Amino acid sequence: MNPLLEQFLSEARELLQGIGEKLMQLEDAPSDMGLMNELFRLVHTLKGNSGLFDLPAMTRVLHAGEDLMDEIRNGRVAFTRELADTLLDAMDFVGAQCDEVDRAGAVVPGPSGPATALADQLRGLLPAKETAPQEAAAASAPSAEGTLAGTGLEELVGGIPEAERLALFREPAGPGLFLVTYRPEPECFFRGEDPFHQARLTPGLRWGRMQASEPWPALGELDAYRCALEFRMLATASLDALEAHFRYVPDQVAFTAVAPRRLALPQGDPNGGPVYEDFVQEAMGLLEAGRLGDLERAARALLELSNPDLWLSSALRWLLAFLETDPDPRALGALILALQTLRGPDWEALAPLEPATSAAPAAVALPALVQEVLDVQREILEASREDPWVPGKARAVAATLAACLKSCGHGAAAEGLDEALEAALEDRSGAPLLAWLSALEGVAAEPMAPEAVTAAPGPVAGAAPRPAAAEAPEAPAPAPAPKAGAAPEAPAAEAAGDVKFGRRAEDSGSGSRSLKVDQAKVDRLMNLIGEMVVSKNALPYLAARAEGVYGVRDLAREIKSQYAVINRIAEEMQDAIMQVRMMPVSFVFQRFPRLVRDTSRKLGKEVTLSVLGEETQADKNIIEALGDPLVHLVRNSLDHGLEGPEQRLAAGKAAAGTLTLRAAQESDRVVIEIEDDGKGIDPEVLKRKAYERGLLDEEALARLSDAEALNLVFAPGLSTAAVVSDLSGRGVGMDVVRTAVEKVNGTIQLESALGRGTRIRLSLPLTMAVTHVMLVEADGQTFGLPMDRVIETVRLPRSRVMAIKHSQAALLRGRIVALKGLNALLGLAAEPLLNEDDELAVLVVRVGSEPVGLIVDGFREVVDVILKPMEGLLGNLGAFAGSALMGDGSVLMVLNVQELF
Amino acid sequence: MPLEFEKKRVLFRGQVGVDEAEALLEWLQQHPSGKADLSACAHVHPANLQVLLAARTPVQRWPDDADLRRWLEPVLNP
Repeated sequence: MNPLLEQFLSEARELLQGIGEKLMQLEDAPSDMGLMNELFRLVHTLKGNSGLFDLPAMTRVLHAGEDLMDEIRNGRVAFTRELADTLLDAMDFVGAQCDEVDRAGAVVPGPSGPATALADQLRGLLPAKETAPQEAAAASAPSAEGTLAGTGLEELVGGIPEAERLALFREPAGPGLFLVTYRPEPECFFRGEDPFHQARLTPGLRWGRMQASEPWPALGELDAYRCALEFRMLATASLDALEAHFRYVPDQVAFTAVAPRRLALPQGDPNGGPVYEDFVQEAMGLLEAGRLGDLERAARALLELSNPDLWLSSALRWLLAFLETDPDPRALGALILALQTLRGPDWEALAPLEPATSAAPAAVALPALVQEVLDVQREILEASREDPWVPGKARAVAATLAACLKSCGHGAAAEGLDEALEAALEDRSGAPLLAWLSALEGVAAEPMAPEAVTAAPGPVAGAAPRPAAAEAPEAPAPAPAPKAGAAPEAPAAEAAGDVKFGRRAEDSGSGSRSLKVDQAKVDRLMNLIGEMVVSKNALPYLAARAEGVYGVRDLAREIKSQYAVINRIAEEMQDAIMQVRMMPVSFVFQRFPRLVRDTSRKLGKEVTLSVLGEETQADKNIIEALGDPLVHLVRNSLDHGLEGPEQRLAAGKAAAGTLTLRAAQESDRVVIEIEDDGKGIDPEVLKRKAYERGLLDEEALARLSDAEALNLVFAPGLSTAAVVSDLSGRGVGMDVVRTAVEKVNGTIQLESALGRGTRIRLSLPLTMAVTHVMLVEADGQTFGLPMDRVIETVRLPRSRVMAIKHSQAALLRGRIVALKGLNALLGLAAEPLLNEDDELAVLVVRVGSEPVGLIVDGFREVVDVILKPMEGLLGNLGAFAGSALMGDGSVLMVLNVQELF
Repeated sequence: MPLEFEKKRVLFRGQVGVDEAEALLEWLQQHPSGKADLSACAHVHPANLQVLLAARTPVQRWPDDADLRRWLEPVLNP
């Protein structure tokens, strides 16, 4: 899964949670505008986010939700409990989709049917005037055949040549026949859409028409770029395919399932021809007798006698087509009667067959909630096939089912349940109940299924009945639908049956595996673990006391072994919490490609950026502290370091400069290098500048080595660029960088070769939680020094200490190292102690990039401490980096080496 | 050029895109009795159709493309 998607999922869950909470709060305080706005913002954000991915179903639902929310916000719709329910359902659906994506690890488009149903349901709650022009869109659920009259099916069908319609009608059951109504938005041309092209490419397109949605204005007033066309298409394709084709304009398109028999629209000249009265009577007689073969022969004979252009001939052709494929006696009857009335059968009034009543439970349209209960019962039954406690389960299920059906007003449907239960108890399996349940649900879902039972037997009865699914919507729902307001529930019930998004999120049991925690909580945990690390250090003291003071050696040993255990756990804990806070360096690196691209373009330079070791991890605070210094450094390299293409070519280098960002972990530090192959830094220029600015006197200038001179770039108020640009050169950059890096206990080094490039090396601790300090003694007191400053500890014979004027120095490893007494630096009067061999304890520390020998009284161990910065009045004491609590309860002062001298 | 303007008629060729609508509208305003020849047309952006419809431009020749003709004939042939 890519990180973007991961982030989307975690954010989406958070947003959904927020939306849910706000919705519930709004139920108690529906007029709270603040809450409403907040809710709108959440939904809007979520919608925007979902738009980044190919999740049309999710976006559609959220879009509808957002529209509704906007209306509520503007006071056009009142916030009601039902509305909240619908919105919550919608959010559950979105949540389920997120889970789906999470499971699949990639974007899955998701079911479009329930999404459409939900979106329609949401739009159904919009004010009427809003929905009126979109009525067709709102009715896009395939069940809305009832609104066909408004969509002009007759007219459209009438435009299709009869031959084509007959062919369509005779076609074996395909994926489905749909009327597509496409009303592009007036502004669609400006988005580069071509609705006509879109319409022409409709999958399975059989017939299409376009028409103006309003009368055309005079040519002078015409706005040709305002789309005023509408398209209607008849397509044989699956709903999914159609929805996929129109996925970018779901709100502008409506799909209506069309029963094939609606195509039967006799056309032609109504006048002339033989009188058909006789035929009608004869045909009705044959039909009643079920002699369909004879009926067919009679119709064929009459058709041959008639002028094919007549209306009557057309009706006869349809009669034959029905005989061939859909020998429903009532349909045939209607067609025959049409011969008499010369008016096409009213297919809408002519509902298909009533569902047969048989041993199977009666067809019931079950509310979504009941459907859900049934699904759960089914799961219970399916799960319990082998269990020894099947009888108990079967009884429970049967009781649930009976109560459930009774409470939703379908008590009659429960007949047969008792028998099924008895059978189940007898053979100790859930199968009979399961079968009963399937029958109940099967009938509820497919009222057309029993067609074969009552279909008139005849020579052609064996032919496959027309597909039930496409006509199912035409069946009058046996469920009472007393008021229009209840209508939107029907698609929802179906949808809930299809996909179980109706279940609450808790049921699914698939929680998110990533946790978003307030940083303060992690910090607290880290502090506590830090304290633990320190207090475990008290155990060795205790062991020493047990042995030294109380003389119990065994106890001391046991304490030590316990200490080892606790030590291990504490270290693991520390490691674990550090992992929580770890972030990859890519967090700061990712902004550089763009930065380098933009900056180099601005400067007219060609730069190739190479980024290495992005996956290196470090503590969040460190990474965050790195951001600004790195931007400074990269800008510096681009601006001052790398030359323009001509200059580079003249210097014999490739025209494009290379800037390398490299991150790597070196023991407990993370090292970041910024390297360019530019012109490098001229130490002479730096020296002169520093002198000009009065940062150095002449004497110091003469003493300075080239390497040391390079460090002048970090001096405040110094800039190497002759011209101050808007990018860098104002003389604050490097100074600020060094301060920022040192704030997180990092160090910065700069190497540069004139004409060949510059390399800046940042070394940062992996974590700031625990600091390693070396304990030293000075005049009987103990002080800590950060380990990362310590280069080495040496015992130096007093004879090797040289006095240069007032300063002391010693030759160590071939170089002169200045020596400073810690006592003197801290203002302690005592002289440094010497050991019995007349040696001084010298701690060589790094100050800047220079080693300095610190004369101390003695070395002690290295410990891990939690460094607490000095606060308040003590904060001004620059010589101390902070204080720390030791294992024996004493307070350790940790020195700030940089500020000490 | 997808649109070719002659003295009394405009020829549609190949794919006639959205950008042509303006020129078409202008031409039809100057030539109110102009006719359209769609025979060589493969697809026409609806913006152009709207101009033809609003101007009630008679179609002299229908597209050779049968599919396009099926779409256009009913709407452009009142």
